[in-house]
Amino acid sequence: MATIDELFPRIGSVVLPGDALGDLEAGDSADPADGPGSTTSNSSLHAFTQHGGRLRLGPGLAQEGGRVIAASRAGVLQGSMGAASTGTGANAHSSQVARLYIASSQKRYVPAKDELVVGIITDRMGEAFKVDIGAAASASLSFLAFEGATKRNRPNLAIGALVYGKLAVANKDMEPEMVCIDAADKAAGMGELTGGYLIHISSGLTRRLLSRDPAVLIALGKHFALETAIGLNGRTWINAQTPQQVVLIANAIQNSEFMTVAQINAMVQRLVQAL
Amino acid sequence: MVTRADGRMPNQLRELSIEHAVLSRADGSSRFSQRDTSALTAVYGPAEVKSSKELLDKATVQTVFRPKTGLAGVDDHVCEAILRQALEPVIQRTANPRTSITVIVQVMHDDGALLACALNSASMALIDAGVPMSAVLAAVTCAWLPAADGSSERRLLLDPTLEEQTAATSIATFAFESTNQEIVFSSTEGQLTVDEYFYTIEMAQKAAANVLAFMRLSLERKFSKSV
Repeated sequence: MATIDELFPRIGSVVLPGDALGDLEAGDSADPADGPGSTTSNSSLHAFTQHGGRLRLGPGLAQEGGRVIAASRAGVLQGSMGAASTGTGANAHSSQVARLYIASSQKRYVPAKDELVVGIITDRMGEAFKVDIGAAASASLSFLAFEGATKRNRPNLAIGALVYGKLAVANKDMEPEMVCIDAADKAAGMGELTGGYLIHISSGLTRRLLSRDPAVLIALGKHFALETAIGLNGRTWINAQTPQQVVLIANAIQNSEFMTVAQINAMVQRLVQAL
Repeated sequence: MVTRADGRMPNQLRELSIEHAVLSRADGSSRFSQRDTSALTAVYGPAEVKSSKELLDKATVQTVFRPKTGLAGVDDHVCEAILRQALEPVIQRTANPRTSITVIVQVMHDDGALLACALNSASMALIDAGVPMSAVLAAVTCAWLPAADGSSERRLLLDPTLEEQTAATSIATFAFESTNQEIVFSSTEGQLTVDEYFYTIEMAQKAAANVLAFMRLSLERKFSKSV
């Protein structure tokens, strides 16, 4: 079984837009034009797909001309190999899935389905709110997309209110649609955000806050209770018991972007002592 | 071989420098310098687009070229059109239809080869903003100077200074994309023979490869720091 590094030798390194990262149709036999010193293992990528292996391309990657996988933005190429089962019962067989994406950081948000975002209510239009989610187009949020809402019992949100919700519809050709309920019609943490403070951070830092062990939030949590709503649109809402603590959290999160875990812990320690 | 007033060889570029993400409010920004020539670019987008400029199937690319001082004149508007023409082929415009991508270039100082510097800085700012692109753009300006004393041939100088540019009989700027080093944009001033033109492209292509290598190195440093 091939590892992800064998399929894509450039994993872990910086790629730029237009860089070709793999050729799906290069023959099994090494291309003589590449010479004996060729290190690209395109042939094993071809073998991988021929033997039922599947490729899943994430952000920043696209198939060009049907065969070449090319980058469309700059960042560090990341990937992992996993198993995916297809079919059920007697037909079930598992195949390998190579997942590939480019880790990069952006300020502007491009909506994607199922992502959690923090939005600002900008208008009421008939049966829905218009919500600014920091993308090219504002999202619509139906009055009925709240827990317990009915035609008679409408949510009462003022213009300027903050909402935490999920994108139910998001594609490049349509207006994004937001909901504040999950599949079981429950709020599940979504809905209006009252009090607190909104900060703007890059997409890279947002993803780090959402990772399994967000160093800065863990470090802050050791000192006092805090509440966050992390939106993938680069807006993060924070709250704590006192305004001083809120300011401290905002500073700590924004400072942490280019720090190591040790640096983050020292920085949080320093801020808390000054409080 | 005749060296130039600043001691460079005819095919030698000035030292380059790039600063990424210099502006806090823009979605992407970069400052690109070729020694004293320097341009600062801010990129906003994909953002909301005015309905009169909206395109149904692709993003609208808007460019603004701001001179060092004073109001933008006719020359600056020409630069805006040039920038748009050169950047549109490398931006994947269909990825974000009905949006606008605004590129604002502010001239910091002009010591020759300003157009190439502006293009390079715009290219880096677009990458910083994370705008989907099909390739990286690198540009080089070349100047043909009249024959020096005792020689009958015109001389080709790469990345001319302002002094060299004013003495030049013709100036050409080329932009190349990174995947196949193909030419995506060409602008010439003054007269060139066909042979001279192709020779200029050949020299500019080699120089653009160096510019591109520098951009790659600079971005590798940037990402190794942040990730």
